[in-house]
Amino acid sequence: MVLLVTSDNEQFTTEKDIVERSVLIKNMLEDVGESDQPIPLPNVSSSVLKKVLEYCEHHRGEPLPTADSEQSQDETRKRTTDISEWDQKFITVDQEMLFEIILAANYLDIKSLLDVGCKTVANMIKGKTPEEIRKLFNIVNDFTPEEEAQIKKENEWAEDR
Amino acid sequence: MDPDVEESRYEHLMLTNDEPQSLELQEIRTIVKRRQSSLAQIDTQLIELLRSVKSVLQLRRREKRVLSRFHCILSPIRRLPRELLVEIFLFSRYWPSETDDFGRTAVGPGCEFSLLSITHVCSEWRRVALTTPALWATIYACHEGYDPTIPRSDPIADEYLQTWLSRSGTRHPLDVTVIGPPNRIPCPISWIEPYIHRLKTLTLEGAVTALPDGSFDMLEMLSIDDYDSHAEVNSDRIFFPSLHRLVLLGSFLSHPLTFVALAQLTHLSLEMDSIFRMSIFLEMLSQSKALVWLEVTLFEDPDVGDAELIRDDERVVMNHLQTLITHTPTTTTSLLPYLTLPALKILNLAYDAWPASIYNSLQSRSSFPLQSLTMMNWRRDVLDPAEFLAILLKLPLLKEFISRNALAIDPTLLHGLTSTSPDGVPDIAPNLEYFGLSVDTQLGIVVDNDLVLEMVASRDSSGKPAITEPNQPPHIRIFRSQLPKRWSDGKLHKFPMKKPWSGSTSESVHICF
Repeated sequence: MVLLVTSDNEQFTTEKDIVERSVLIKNMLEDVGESDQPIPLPNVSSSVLKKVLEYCEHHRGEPLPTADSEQSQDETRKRTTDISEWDQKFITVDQEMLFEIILAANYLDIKSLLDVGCKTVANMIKGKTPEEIRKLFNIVNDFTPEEEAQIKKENEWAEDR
Repeated sequence: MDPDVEESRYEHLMLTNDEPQSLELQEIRTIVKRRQSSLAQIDTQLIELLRSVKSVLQLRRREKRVLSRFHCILSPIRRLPRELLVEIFLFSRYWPSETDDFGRTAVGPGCEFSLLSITHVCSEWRRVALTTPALWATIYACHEGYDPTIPRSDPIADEYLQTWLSRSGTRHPLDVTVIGPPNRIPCPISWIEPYIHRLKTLTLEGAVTALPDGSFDMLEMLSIDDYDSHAEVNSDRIFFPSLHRLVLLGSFLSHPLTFVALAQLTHLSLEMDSIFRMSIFLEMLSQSKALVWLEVTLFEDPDVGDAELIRDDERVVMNHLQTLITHTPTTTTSLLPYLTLPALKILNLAYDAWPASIYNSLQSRSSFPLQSLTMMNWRRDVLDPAEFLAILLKLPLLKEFISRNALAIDPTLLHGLTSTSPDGVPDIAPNLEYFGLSVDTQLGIVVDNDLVLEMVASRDSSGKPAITEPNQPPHIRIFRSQLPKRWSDGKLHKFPMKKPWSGSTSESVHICF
């Protein structure tokens, strides 16, 4: 069993094969060897870690991507945004939690979870106008007049095609 | 006086048209004056109130605006580092439809408007997108309307194309598709010249000018859909040192390809109206020793001899070929007798009458480890199930069988596939994972679901009953074991629902063991 301590000081005890889906934790465990010492996760809150562990538990036993497979995938993989049914239900959370999960997956180095998060955001972006995207994510339109002029031109190209 | 009392006093005048008496007249004038003054007071109050409401509404709007600006600061998307934003952007592109069976090594998806949307959201997103060459590495240059008399139709004048190219950086591999006009006026493609060393895939459609001279150092896939116009590519001045995948469409192949070293090709897809002599094509195949994928479509019979009289030394042994796809019956009957394919794993055959002797002969001289067999029958008569079971018997490694109008699900077939072994190890095609059939509904051979379920369960060593997948569209039936060896919607073959030439409907049956 492995003991994890979150940024809000909550402790989680979990099985090694579940938590080792995180490359960061796997490496830490390999570095320290057999130990009862808790692993601090200062960048992950308890509510987010709970979700991350739920994901890792569901996907326990599945093969982890190797560095080689990731590299070859990057060259040839079609970056489709298909998400499995379970993952889709899992990631149906509010925006705050969605981005927290993405950040946690990035920090903990859980590639498959990171992909699920990024695909979800990408699916939210697809097919939307810039104004709709701004509204969805509370983004400020901060273009300079020069940029605005260039954007206007680009929109004209798009209309011409 | 109480207004109600006042009103009731003069009700007899209010409800009639009688003339008031002089005394009443005076009194009523006084009442009118008083009432006018009262109304003016109310109006003043109302104006005050409206002014207050307006001011509060203004305050509300301002507060809302400020709140929204603070909300923006809290927006969680701001916390994403650049590399995660790039990941999201890469996922947000649109990929074209699934045409990658050929094994293209596409650098990116189609160029869609969504990319421009991303760059039009805010400065930071624009900066990130414009400094990520991978996002711009797919160039789709459509110049179908090219007209030499209209200078702005020239690709060189296409600002959109030039911007896209500049955003792709200076080193990132490029995936370029050029679409020329459908007529015979070729659109110039000299603009690709500065980029030829970065091209990883190049697709030429429609009428375009000849390829520029030089070395296409990185080019792995070349697709030309008007080969006749490019047949004279000068192999002394154009080099393709990395080319592995070649797609050629044209009307006539009169001599073997010389512009590419055939020995380095791993994938070849050829669609020709005609080949003057089969020997030309066979000569090409004999040089293509590294081929693992071959897809051929011929529409006219080439000059071939009698299949029965072909000598072994006339045949081409393709030791590495794993996938063979023939899209027309002509291709099947004219090509198969000349091939020996000891490594074949995937075979898709089109035919209009099952070429039993050609197939059996190929199978016996090749002894291939076939894992996937697709039969595409162009006619309506289905194969005798006993004959089909005899084919399966010789394919112990088969994992997948797909039939397009080649086979009907009937009791004989189901009986043949049913395992008689008590431990569920199937007697026939023991490794079968998927069986997909599309059958013309007019054939009327529709068996009871229970018979199919029994067959599936008999092949399942877990002993658990098989199940029917619920909530399927009409004309689709899915049967599966409880823990199928492979299972996901993506793995089921997608059959066309209607045959274009008949308009009749088909039923699709998917069985996952």
